[in-house]
Amino acid sequence: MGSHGIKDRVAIIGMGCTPFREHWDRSTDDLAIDAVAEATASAGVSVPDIDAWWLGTAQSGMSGITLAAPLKLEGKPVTRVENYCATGSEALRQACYAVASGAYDVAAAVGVEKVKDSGYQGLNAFPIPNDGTNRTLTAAAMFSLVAPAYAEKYGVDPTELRRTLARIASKNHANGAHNPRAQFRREMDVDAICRMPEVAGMLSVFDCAGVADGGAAAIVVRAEDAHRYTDSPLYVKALSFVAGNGSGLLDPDYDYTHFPECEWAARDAYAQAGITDPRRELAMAEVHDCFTPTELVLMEDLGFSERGHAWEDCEAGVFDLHGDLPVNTDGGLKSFGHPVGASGLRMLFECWLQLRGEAPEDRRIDTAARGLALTHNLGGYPGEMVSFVGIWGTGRE
Amino acid sequence: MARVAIEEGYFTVPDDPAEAPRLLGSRCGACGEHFFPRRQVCARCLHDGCDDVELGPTGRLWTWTYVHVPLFAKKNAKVSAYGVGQVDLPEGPRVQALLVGGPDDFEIGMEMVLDLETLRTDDDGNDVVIMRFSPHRAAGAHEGGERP
Repeated sequence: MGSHGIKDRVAIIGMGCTPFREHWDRSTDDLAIDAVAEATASAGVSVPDIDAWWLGTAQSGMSGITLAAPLKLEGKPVTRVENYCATGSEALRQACYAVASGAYDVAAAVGVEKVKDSGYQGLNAFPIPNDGTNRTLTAAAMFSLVAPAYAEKYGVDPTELRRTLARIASKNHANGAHNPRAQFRREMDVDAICRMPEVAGMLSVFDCAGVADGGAAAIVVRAEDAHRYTDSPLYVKALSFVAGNGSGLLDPDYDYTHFPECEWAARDAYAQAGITDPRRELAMAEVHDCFTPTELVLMEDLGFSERGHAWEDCEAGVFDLHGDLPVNTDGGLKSFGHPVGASGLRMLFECWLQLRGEAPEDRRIDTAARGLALTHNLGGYPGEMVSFVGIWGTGRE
Repeated sequence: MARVAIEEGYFTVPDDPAEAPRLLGSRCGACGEHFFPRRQVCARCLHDGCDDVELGPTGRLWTWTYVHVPLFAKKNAKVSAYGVGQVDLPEGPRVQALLVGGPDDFEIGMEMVLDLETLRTDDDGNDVVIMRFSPHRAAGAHEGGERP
């Protein structure tokens, strides 16, 4: 028994990603078609060339017909998957395993979500399985509980920590300002973010990711076939997923300063990829910055910072666009919003651009020396969440 | 006028309004673990047959937030913001509950005490009450607030 991964057995040969915004004039079908059209063009394949499909959508449709109908697929398998906010990454994970198994030659993962039509100002609540005694708070309030607990545990002045959180948002907005696919494209400084209307605890409106409509897609083949399609594929180094058992709700040992599900997923992913020092081996990371304390804590859970020191690394600019380990170079959930089914694939799209040297010059980072990127999603709340970690690379052993 | 709980089975409603209410919890007959709210099967050792016990009424604040955009209070125009805390009971369980006070009133490690607030009056004229924790202002309440 064991988690062995499929390092270097599957390659990504094409990707597409729509702009993320309020697409009043685009349906779920339109967004899926746009993402697939860009991905197939990028891979040099046509829709009938794809043998099997995985569709990630949390709430924009049920069953594979949600994708088969707009794409007019004929006689093809389509599996619709959902795994909270890691839904897009989960679709890709399944497509990769299908190709690695030998079952199919060419598979596609498509993520799509139309959130703005729901009529809610935030994500419509997921019905988390519970016994009727679960917590009832906004997601922002749930994640805001992390900040005072972190400040207390590590002796950080809460006023100082509040500015560190704002700096995380400011960094992501600075990156997103350079990205034509991002929804919010204005730079925001720390003082401006701190002055925004309060939402919960230390968090202001700009400590919270927005919502958006969007779609993204990736096409995968066996690694040995990749060069038939492209000179610069990305190889799948690791795919890891953890569904927490919710014990953080019952167990007072859970202290609200870390997310064990993310630590476990990262540990498994690093083992699959053979990474021992992620801070120095990864060229970049796209992480799930749903709220600013989330990104802070993730820098420790993913092994980029020592426990209790992520706030200092954030302040020192380690995760800035041209820092030692750039995080959310495309602007993150902060700049894009979070169409649940699409976000994980949107993160991979940024790795696709950056690792292949195709990111626009004003946000391009140097990935030549390291050649590895990480994407991360989480879904749920502190104490009960799911987490995905994927690692992608330009070279193949 | 009588006071009645908004939901049976979660907290006591003492006849004497000066008396602190208590939380209705469970204690495992096998391993001794405490739980709130009540449960039949122990979540730690899976023993079937927890005993009813009363917990609190005091606890220590583990972490907290102050919600300016209440999700569930949109139907009540009188509620614009509220505190929520994770309160550790002396028996062990950590309870998430409403807090009494404003955003400057809370500090991690402070002692909290359970009380009841009247939410509305029902058709029979009873005061319908909910539970919440408020900072315990007694002398020395902050002593021993160090975290383990």
